[in-house]
Amino acid sequence: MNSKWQRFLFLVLMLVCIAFVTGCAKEQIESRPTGLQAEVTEESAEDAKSSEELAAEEARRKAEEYELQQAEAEAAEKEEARAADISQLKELIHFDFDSYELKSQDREILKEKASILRNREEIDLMIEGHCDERGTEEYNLALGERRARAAYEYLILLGVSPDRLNIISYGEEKPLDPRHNEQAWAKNRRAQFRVD
Amino acid sequence: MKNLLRKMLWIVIGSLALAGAWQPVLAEEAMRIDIYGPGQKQLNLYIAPPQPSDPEMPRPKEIGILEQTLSKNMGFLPFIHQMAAGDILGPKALSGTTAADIDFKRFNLSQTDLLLTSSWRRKKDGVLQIELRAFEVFARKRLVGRGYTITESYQLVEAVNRFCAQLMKELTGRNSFFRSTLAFVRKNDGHKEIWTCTPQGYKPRQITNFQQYCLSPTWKWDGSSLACTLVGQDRHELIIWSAKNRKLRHVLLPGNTIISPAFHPDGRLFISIDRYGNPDIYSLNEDFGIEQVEVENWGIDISPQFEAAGKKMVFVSSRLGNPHIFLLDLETRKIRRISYEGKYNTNPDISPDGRYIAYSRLTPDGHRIIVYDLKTNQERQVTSGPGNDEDPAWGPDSYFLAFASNRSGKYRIYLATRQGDETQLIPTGPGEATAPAWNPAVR
Repeated sequence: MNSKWQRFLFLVLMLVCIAFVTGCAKEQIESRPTGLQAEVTEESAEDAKSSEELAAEEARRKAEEYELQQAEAEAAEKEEARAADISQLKELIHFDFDSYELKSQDREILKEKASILRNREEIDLMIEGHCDERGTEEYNLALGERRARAAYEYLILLGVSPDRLNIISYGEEKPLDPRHNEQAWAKNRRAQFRVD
Repeated sequence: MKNLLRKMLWIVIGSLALAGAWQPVLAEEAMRIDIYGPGQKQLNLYIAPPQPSDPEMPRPKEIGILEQTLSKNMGFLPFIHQMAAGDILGPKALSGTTAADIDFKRFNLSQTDLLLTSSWRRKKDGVLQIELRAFEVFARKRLVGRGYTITESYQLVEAVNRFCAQLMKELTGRNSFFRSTLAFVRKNDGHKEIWTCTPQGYKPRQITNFQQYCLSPTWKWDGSSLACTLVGQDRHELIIWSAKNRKLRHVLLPGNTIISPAFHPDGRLFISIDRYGNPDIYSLNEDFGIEQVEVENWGIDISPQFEAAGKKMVFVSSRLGNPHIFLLDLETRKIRRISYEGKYNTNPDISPDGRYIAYSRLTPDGHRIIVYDLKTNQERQVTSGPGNDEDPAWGPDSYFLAFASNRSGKYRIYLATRQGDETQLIPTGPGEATAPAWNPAVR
């Protein structure tokens, strides 16, 4: 009998254990939605954090872009000013036939050039002397030199370093206007300026 | 009395004998041309059609070139008047090309002074043989006779040139016109390069190819080299071309400007450079280093040129405000002004014999060539345009004068003489041609 009771009690205990074990597993299944919710909550928090960073980054980017635009605008402005200066530096001066004398208006042009050159140390200037076709080749080569030199010496007088200036005479070889009349000749008797 | 009569008789006989003896002398001298005289006479020349040694032989095309070249070459000589076939009495063709075969009488009656004959034959191996002769009609005498073997067609022009050189020497005592070489500047595609050709325009050859501006060619007196200025993008350079190895040497000099090189007969190069900020004339040593300043003042000093003796140098200076011609005595260092008229006198060249200075003067009608006689101190205008006549250059004979002119609309090189004879175009090929320079050393 005892052994029957023992077997009965063992069986009951087993059932209880089974029941206990089965009951715990059920609870685990039920706890799953809670875990998922936590994960979602965590993800949302990260999302919130990333948006802030993005906004900051965007702001930074915009600031950088603005700075870049500003810099570009400034550079464009500088470039424009430089282009205007270079254009001014390239302005021609003209001479009378068989003359290398600077006229008063050309002295003003050269003063402006000198002012630009003083402000722009990076610019060197090549001064070209040209003549019209009426003279003879060799004399025109010499006259072209004198025209270029007249401009060169005046610029030096105005404070431009001679190291930044070069001269070359092309004589009658490079006319601006190929026609054979007074108007063309007047255009061709010139000092021309090349920015290096 | 008898003695007196005898003396008088001897004087008369002697005079007659001398007069008789003078006749052939006068006839001989009539054929000599004084090209340096005040106005030389013209000789009537007839160039007879070339004769084949065998009448059955077909005429090769080279014979046409032979005829053309002879006629063209003689056309350059202002003291020769070429007669047309119609001017000659009798048949156009000759019965032969040697003195024995020619009926000189009909040429004499036609007032022909000079007769040129040519004969030819083609050998079996294809080689062409030609014989050229020049006869003085009145004396029935052969002045020049030459035979040439032509294996290549280009030799034909050279053969004719040699014959013409010999004939010119017989007539005038000089032959450099047919033995010299001209250097000049040719403009193509906006660039200027140095070329050479014969004074008749044959054998054009390009010397430089910088695709820049090569100006002012000048020969060394022995013909061994040629110098010019190269105007590059940023600087001027002196260029020396060796005729021996045909190599070009670049020389940099102090200053920014290199203008108008010219060789002294002793071999030194003179040149205008702005060493101290003003174009002055310097002499260079053998290595083209600066030797010494030759002409220096506040104005522009350029374009030196020398006579063959090397004692006189002509140049341009603006020391009086405008460009004028000056003469420097290299021994005494005295400078003499040559041009007084006009306000723009440039491009001087002194004749190798040292007597004449040619230069161009700007007149209201354009530049004209002036020849100044240092012996008489007189000057005369030897060209009359139209357009501009510039860059006069004396030939080695001090007789011919080459110059550049745009009388046809484009600059070309023409030939004149110191007497101002009718000008002749020198065919230099396509492109404008300027700045002629004769090689003083004749071949």
